[in-house]
Amino acid sequence: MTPAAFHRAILRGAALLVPESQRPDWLAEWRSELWHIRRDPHGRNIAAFCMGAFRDAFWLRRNGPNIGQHGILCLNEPSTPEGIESFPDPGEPLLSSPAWCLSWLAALGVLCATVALLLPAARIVLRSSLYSRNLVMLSPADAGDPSIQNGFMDPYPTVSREQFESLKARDGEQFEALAFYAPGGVQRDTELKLLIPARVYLRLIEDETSLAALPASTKGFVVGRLRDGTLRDSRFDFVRLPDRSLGLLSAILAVFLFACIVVAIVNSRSPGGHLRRSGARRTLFLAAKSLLVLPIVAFGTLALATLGGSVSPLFFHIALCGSLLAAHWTLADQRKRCPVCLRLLANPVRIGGASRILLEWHGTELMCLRGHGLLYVPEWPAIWSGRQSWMALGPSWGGLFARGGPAKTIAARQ
Amino acid sequence: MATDVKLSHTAAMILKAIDAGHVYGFGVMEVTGLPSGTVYPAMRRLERDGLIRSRWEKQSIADAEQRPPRKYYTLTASGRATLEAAEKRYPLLANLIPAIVGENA
Repeated sequence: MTPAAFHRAILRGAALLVPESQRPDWLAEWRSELWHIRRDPHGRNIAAFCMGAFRDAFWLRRNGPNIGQHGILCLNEPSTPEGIESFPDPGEPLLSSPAWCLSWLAALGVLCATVALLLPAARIVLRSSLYSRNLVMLSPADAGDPSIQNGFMDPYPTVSREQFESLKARDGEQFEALAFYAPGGVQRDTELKLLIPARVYLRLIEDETSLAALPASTKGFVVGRLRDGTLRDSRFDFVRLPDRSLGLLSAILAVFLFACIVVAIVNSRSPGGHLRRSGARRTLFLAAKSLLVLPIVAFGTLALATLGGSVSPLFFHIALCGSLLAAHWTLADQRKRCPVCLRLLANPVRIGGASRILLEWHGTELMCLRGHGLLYVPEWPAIWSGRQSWMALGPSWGGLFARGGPAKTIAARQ
Repeated sequence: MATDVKLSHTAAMILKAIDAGHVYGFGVMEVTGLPSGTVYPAMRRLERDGLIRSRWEKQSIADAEQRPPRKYYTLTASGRATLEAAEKRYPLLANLIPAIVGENA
């Protein structure tokens, strides 16, 4: 990357912090200044100059121009009527904007994946998952069943070193890889432990020299990966080892779906009226959120379960807890969003008190800062107000809003 | 309102630099010696408070000189009044920022 491209990349990175309505102007100014500073004869530190853009961008993020027409300071930011903005207004919660929420989830997913890939045990699980397709255990045709399938009996070594070498010479082309495991290792090989559910100690003979050093009659296990999924014209039989290529993902997916169902059933007893008014965008947003949460759960679970250096026996317990939490957050977050613009509702106001107006409605009112409507969440579900209800605000409220929708002014700027 | 605004020394220096004819961010940085991370946010704040205003240079002028257009900053009436008050508060301000002559602002 050239220095010029590097400096432009810094500015583009900083521009992501600037509210979208101000971004083009902001970027144009900084690029123009960069153009001039690069031609400065005094040879300034251009990278330091560009890093200052972050402070400027942070300032704009915190102090964006919330000034509406006639000097009225509005809760919402006046900008072009092009629908949802990509970034939250200053003062709104960080995950308020749907695009911002999805971006954060994606970033968190990448972070979890990076952490998981940095852990050796997690890497082994992922690699074993990737390469376990067409994996077989071989034994001479006359040696009988190595009994690894039923899981009740320990397998016994059936292939001598001599037989292994003849197998490699005769049938080697039918395999992508062949490995000889000799009994007597100090501890079980981690990868093999994942592949063979048995209680034996084995060590992988990794190179030809080590193999040649073994007595010809030494018996061990031979594991191979078939090229075509089958072994033709051989003196060896094979038993397929479990295919785990999709095992991890499908297990996590199943657990997550289970968690979603459980949370949805539990939530169905609580107020959730406006959830039923789901449009296509709302459904798509929920689907995108769920899809982005899934890798967070998968890689987060894997990282937690392999922190100790090997796969924890609590792997699926952790996966279940993580999935329940993720599913709960996904659905709870959806319920707190405006059905029109999908931004988080804000400004909760408690109305009434159970001790004072027992028979009247009492609960919490939340407002969409874009003025699309109000959400009423009852404190105590009753037969006349059992569910939370959404009240859409029509165009007649437009006069109070800076952008064609209702808004609430909070102060007049002097 | 403007004369009631109490500027920090840094903000006063920036205001003085703009008044002296250093009308874009890089120029203000050069004359004050302040880093970009201080100058630009301070200018945003001054603009928000109505002490300075910004305008983009005409594209035709920039094209003629084969460079990107610059954003120029000028003092408003409030800014000028505030600067006068700041100069009373910081008497050495005028000596710190030399005025330039013939700047195309």
